[in-house]
Amino acid sequence: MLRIFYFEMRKNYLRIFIIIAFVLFLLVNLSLIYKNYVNGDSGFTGYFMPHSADTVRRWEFYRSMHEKLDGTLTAEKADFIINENKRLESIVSDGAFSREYQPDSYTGYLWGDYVMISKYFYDPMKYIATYSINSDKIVEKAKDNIAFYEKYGNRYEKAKNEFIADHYSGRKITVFYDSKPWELLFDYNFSDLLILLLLLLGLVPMFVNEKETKMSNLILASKNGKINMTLIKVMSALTFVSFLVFAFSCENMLAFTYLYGLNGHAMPLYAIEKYQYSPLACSVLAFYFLMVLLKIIGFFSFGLFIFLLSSLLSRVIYTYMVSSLFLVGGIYASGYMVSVELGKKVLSFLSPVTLLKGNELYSKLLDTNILDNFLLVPYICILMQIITSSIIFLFICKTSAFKTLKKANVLPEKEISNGI
Amino acid sequence: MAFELKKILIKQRGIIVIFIMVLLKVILTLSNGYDSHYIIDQNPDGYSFYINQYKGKLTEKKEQEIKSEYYAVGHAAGELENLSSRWREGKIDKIQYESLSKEYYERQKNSAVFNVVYNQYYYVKEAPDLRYIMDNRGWSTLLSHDNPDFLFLLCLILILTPLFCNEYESGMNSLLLSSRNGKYRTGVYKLLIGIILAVGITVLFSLIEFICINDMVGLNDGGFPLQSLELFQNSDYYITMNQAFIAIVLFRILGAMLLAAFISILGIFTGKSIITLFLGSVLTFLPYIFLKGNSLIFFLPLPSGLLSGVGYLWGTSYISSIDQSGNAVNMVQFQEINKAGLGFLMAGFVVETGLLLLCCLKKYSGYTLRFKNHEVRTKMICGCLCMIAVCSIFIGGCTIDRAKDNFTVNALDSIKYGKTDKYNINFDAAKRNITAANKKTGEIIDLIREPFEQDAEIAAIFVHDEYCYYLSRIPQAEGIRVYEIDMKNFERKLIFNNVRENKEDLFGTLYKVNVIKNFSEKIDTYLPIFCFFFNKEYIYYGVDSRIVRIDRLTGRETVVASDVAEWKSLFYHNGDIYYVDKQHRLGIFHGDSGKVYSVDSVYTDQFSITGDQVEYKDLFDNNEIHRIPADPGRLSQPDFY
Repeated sequence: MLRIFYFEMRKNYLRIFIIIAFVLFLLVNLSLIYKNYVNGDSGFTGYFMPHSADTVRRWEFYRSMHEKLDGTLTAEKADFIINENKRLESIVSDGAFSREYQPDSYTGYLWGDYVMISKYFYDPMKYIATYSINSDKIVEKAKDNIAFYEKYGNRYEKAKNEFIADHYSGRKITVFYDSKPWELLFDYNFSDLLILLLLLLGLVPMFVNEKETKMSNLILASKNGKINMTLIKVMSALTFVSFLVFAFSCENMLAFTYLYGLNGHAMPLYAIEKYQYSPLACSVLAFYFLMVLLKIIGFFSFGLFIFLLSSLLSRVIYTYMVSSLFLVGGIYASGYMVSVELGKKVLSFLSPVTLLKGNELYSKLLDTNILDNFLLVPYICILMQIITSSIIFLFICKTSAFKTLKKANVLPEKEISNGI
Repeated sequence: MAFELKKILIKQRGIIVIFIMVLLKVILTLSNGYDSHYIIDQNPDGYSFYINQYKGKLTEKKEQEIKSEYYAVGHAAGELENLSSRWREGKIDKIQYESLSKEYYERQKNSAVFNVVYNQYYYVKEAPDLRYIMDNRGWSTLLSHDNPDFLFLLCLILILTPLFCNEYESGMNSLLLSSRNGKYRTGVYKLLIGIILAVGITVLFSLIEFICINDMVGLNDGGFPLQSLELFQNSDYYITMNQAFIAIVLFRILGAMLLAAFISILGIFTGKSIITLFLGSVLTFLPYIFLKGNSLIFFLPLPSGLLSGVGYLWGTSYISSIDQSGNAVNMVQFQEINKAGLGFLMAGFVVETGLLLLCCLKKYSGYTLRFKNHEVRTKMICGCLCMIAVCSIFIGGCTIDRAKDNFTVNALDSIKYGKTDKYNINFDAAKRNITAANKKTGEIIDLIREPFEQDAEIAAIFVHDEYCYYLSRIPQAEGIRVYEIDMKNFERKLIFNNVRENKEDLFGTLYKVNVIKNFSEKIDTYLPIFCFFFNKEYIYYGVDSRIVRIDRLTGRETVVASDVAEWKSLFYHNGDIYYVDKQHRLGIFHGDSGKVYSVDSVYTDQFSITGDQVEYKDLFDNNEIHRIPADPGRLSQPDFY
C-alpha cells in the first residue's frame, strides 16, 4: 500500500509543472505580503503606515516605544502613556497647534506625536485595562439570563447563556503587545486562493487522466484497483493538501514575523480587540494552529469534491469548469455564516470555504438554534464537512470503481452468443 | 474552417459551455441589480418627473428654474401651513385653498428626490459644458465598475483551451503534421477560429449587460458627455457615453484576442489542458487581486486590464488624508492614462497579440482532434443544476407569522406601548430597550437580554396577540430586521430580514456591499420610525414623512404614502392605513387597491377609529367631533358628502 501511495504521489503531485507552480506561488505570496507591508493601509482610519522616507522616524519611534512598553502591563507604563496622551491632546484639541517641524518631539510634529501615542499605545492600553470589567458585566448579565430563561422554559437561551457564563468568566489581559499584526495575519487570505488554484491543478486530472488514457480499466482489473486505489488517492490528496497548507502557513508566519514583528505569541486571543467576544480563550499562536487545522479540513473537503467531479466527468475541461463555478459559489455562500437567517446559514455550513475563514468563525460567538438546541457554528461547519466528505468518498468509490467495473464487465450480446 | 468551428462548438460541447455561462450571466446581472440611490427607489415617479424636466445641458434658464424649485421645496411646508391657517380664518375659500395648496403639497411629497437631483445640479454646475443632468443609474452601472467578469473570463478560458490541447493530448499531432494542410493552414484556421470565438463571446456578454441594464433601469441619453458620471469627472476623454461603451467593448475585444493568443501559445507549449487552464486562470485573475485599485493593471502586458476596460477612460482620483503635521493632503488613488499613453498601450497590445499569434503558428505542428465517444453526462450536469436550484430554496427570509389582517391599531401608540394578557410592554427609545411589566405582580422584565453589544438598534415595537415584534436597524446599513418575541417563554425568532449581510468580496475583486456612501443615506438610518405594523403579506413602517411597505415574500419596498404628517394620528384598520397628511386632510391608503385617497372634506389633526367609525375633530368646526364610516370605498367617492 505504501508503495502505491508513493507512486500516486509521484505520479500526480511531484510533477515539474506543479513544483514550478508551487514555487512561483510561494514567491507571489511573499511579494504580496511585502507589497502590503510597504504600502500600508490607506485613508484616515488605516492602522499600518506605509514604509517610506516620510515614515522612517515614526517607525523608529513605534519600535522604540514597543521595546519599552511590551510585556506585563504595569501601572508605571500605563501612567506614562496616559500622561503623554493628555499632554498631547491638550495641545492639538483646539486645532491651533504648530504644524512646523519640532526637533524635540517624538516624530518631528506635534500632530504626528498625538496620533502615534493615541492610536498605537493609549487606545490599545485602554482596551486592555477595561477588558476584564466589560467581560465581568457580560458574565453577570448571562448569569441573570440563565435564571430567567430557566423559569420560562426557554432551553436554547438558557444553554446559550450558560455557555457564555462558562467561557467568558475570569478573563483578564495582563500583557501589552501590538496585537494588530496578529489580526492582520489571521485576516490574510490570499494564500488560500493560491492553494485553491494549486488544488485545481493537482486534483482535477486525478481520475480524468486515467479515463482518457484507458488506464482505469487496467487499474480496476488489478488486485488493489478498486477501493484500495481510491483510498490511496484520497490519502494522497490529504497529504498534498496538508503539505500546501503547512507550507503557505509557515511562509505567512515567517514573513509576518520578519516584517511586522509578531510579539506576544502567548497572549490570549481576546487581547486582540476584534476577538474580544471570541468564545476561545487560547493564545494567539494556538489559534493560528487551529486556523491551519480548519483550513486543512476545508481544503480537503473541497479537494474531495474535485475528485468526485473528476470521477464523474470524462474531460478535464468540464471538471475544471464545474470546480471553478463551485469554488466561486462556495466562496460566496461562506459569506452567509454571519447571517441571522437559518436558511442562508445552512448554505454556509455546506460550503467548505467557510472553514477557511477561521478568523471570522471565532471572532465572536456565532451560534444557531436548531430545534431549540444551542449549537456553535464552527462545530456545525466541521461536522457538516466531515459528513459531506464521507458521503463524497462513498460516491467516488461507487463511480470510479463499481460503476466502471460494472460497465466493463458487460459484454455485447453478439459476442456472448458467439462464445467470445 | 467550418469543420474546426463545428469541432469546437458541437463535438467538444463548446456551445453548451457558452449557453451555461450566458444563462448564469443573465441571472447574475439581473439579480445584482443596478447602482441606485435608495430615495430614488422609493419614489421613482418623483425622480422621473424632475429628471425629465431638467435633464440635459445646464442653461441659465434651467439653473434659474432649479433654484426657484429649490426655494419652493424648502418653503413648501411653511406655505402649506400658511394657506391652511388662512382657510381656517376664512380669508380664502375651499376651492382657492385646494388649487393653491396642490403644488406645495406635491413639492413636499417629492422633496427627498428633488434633493437628489439638486445634488446632481451642484456637481454639474462646476463644469456645465462638460456635465449634463441625467438619470445616470444605468450608465453608472454599465461603465463605472472595473471588477472582473468572472463568468466571461472563465467562458473564454474554457472555450479556447481545447483549441490546440486536444490534439496534443490525444496524440493526433503527428498525424496532422504529415497531412497536406496540417502544418500551416490548420494552424491559421484554428487561430482564426479562436479569435472569432473570443470576439463573439465578448460582444455577446457585453450585449447581455447592455440589454439587462437597459431593461431594468434604462440607458437613455447615451449622447450625453461621459463626464456627466461622477466617476469620470476628471476624465481626459471628451466623448459621449455611447462612444465610451463602444470604446470599452473594443478594449475588451482586444483583451479577448490577447487572451486567445496567450491560451493558444500555452496550449501549444504545454500540450496539456489542465496546465493551460491553470495558467490561463492565473494570468487572468491574479492581477485583479494583486493590483486591485491600482492603475498598474492597465499597463501590464496581460489581458486583465483590457478585459476590464473602464480604467482606460477614468481620470485621476484622489483620497484625502492627514499628514504627520496635521494638514489635510490629497493622495493619488488612481493615476489616469492619458491619450498618448493610451494610444501607445493599444498599439503595444496589438503588436503583442500579433507576435503571440505568429509565435503560435511557428510552434504549431498540425494536429487534429480525435473524436472520442464520450457518454453524455447530461444527467450529471442536470444534477448539478438541480443542486443549485435546490440550494436557492434555502435562501429565504420569512417565517410563519401569526398576525391577522383584520385588526385596528393606533400606530402612534403601538410603536411604544402594547399589551398582552399578562404584560404591559413598553419601548424606551432613548435606551433602545423593551420592558414588560407583569400586570399581576408588577415585575419588570427586560425583553432584550443579549449580553454582548449589538450592531443593530431597536427602532419600534408592535404588540399583537401574545407576541411582541420589534424592528431593528443597523446604522449606516440599508434594510431592516423584524423579530418576534413569544411572551410565553420569551423565545426570539426572526420574522423578516432585508439587510444585505454577505460582505464576501472574492479576495478583493468585488466592490464592497452594504455600504451607504451618501451622507443623506447615512442620516436616514438615524431618523426615527413613527409607525410600525404588519400583516400576513406586508410590513409597514414610517420614516421621514413616508410610509414604506415591504412585501414579505419578495422583499420589495414601495412608498405607499409620502405626505404623512409625522406624529399625528395614524391608524391601521383591516388592511387600510388612515393618516393625516400635510394639508391636514384625512388620507387613506387602501391596502387592496394600493391607492391613496385624500378625503377632502375631512380636515383634522386628530382622529381615532372605533369599530367601523372614524371619529375626528373637525378643524373647521371648532374641533367638534364628527363621525364617518371607516370605508375607503365610500370615502374615496367624490360625492361622498
